[in-house]
Amino acid sequence: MQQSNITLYTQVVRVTHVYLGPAADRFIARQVQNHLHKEPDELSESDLLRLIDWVRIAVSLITEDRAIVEEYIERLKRLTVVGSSPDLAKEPNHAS
Amino acid sequence: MSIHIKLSRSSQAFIGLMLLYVALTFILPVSNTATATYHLSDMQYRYLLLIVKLPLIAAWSITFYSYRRLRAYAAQIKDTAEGEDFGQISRGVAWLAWGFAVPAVISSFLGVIANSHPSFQTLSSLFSSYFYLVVTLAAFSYIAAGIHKLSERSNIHLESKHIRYLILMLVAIGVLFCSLIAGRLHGHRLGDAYNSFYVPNILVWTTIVIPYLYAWFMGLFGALELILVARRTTGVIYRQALRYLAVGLVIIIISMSGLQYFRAIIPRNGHVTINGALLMVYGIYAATAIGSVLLAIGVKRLKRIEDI
Repeated sequence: MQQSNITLYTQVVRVTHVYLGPAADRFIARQVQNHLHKEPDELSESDLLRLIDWVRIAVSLITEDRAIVEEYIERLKRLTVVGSSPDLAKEPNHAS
Repeated sequence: MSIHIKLSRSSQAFIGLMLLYVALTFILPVSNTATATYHLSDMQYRYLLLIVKLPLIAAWSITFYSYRRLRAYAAQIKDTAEGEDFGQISRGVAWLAWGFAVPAVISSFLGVIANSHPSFQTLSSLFSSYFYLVVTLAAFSYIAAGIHKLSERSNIHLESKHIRYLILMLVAIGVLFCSLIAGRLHGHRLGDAYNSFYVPNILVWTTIVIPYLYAWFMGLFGALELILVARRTTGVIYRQALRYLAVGLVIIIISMSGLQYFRAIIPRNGHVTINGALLMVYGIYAATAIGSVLLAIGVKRLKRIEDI
């Protein structure tokens, strides 16, 4: 499967790209470095839930649209389920 | 308790420039024609001049503030793919922020000299015409180039229907502007109130009209591309922030083009005239200020994504 060759960090960035566009990569890299004190390529599955908590806090400071935040977090949570597909290319339902 | 506000050198220079502009109101000699027209004493005329200048100073200051915000954002993301694009856009907005305040101060000096030495009117008028032209060309070239790179990076291109609308708009603006300029040139002597370009007609067409039209077309082309980028780029949250920036910049481009358009077609008399033309200029500057506020809001939102 092609999906298994993609690092977890790349998957997180791909989901984030749907919401933060070109700023996605550096946004996730900052969250990993500042809050998990790791380099982005060291991100592991055991870090994911903690990262999602930090991302929720950070995105809530960027937008007041709760629906978009919840949808984004829900997509990130799907990455914690082994073998699940995160619907990377799909625009959010609340896209305006 | 003391509050320390650290201002950059360019902010200090801009504040100094604005203070100089206000000070000149009370330092430079006043126009005898204007005081006689309005039946005012010298001091009353100076206060009137100050009241007329204050809205302009407010609009320029808001534009300068939004430029500083945009520059800070561009500097923050300078090492990223779109950093250079925002850098170019911020350089264009810098030209607008400085380019309307600096010539206003210089024109104050030149206007006073021209009032007492009519032969100097030519130089004063030429300076105004060409300085604003250079500012508009530089500003819109930078802004349009930055926006175009941004749209190419987002793989967003104008469709044929957009190009058709753009051509129609540009032809309408171009024809109207040319007819208004032709009206000013026809039947008026070189240098009178209605033909204040002070250069032969051939130079008006080749060195003023054509470059202005080119600059406005560049600006409008950039505005259309930016609207598309703000609507279609990836990232729903990013797009929300970019929309504020786009709407603000589009308003600034259109209002600044409108101001140049207006400056080129209204006659000048070398002193303050309280009439519909002044109200129109205020309206245009008010639109620029609104655009600048929206631009600053958009930049603030984009910057927040990079800060957190």
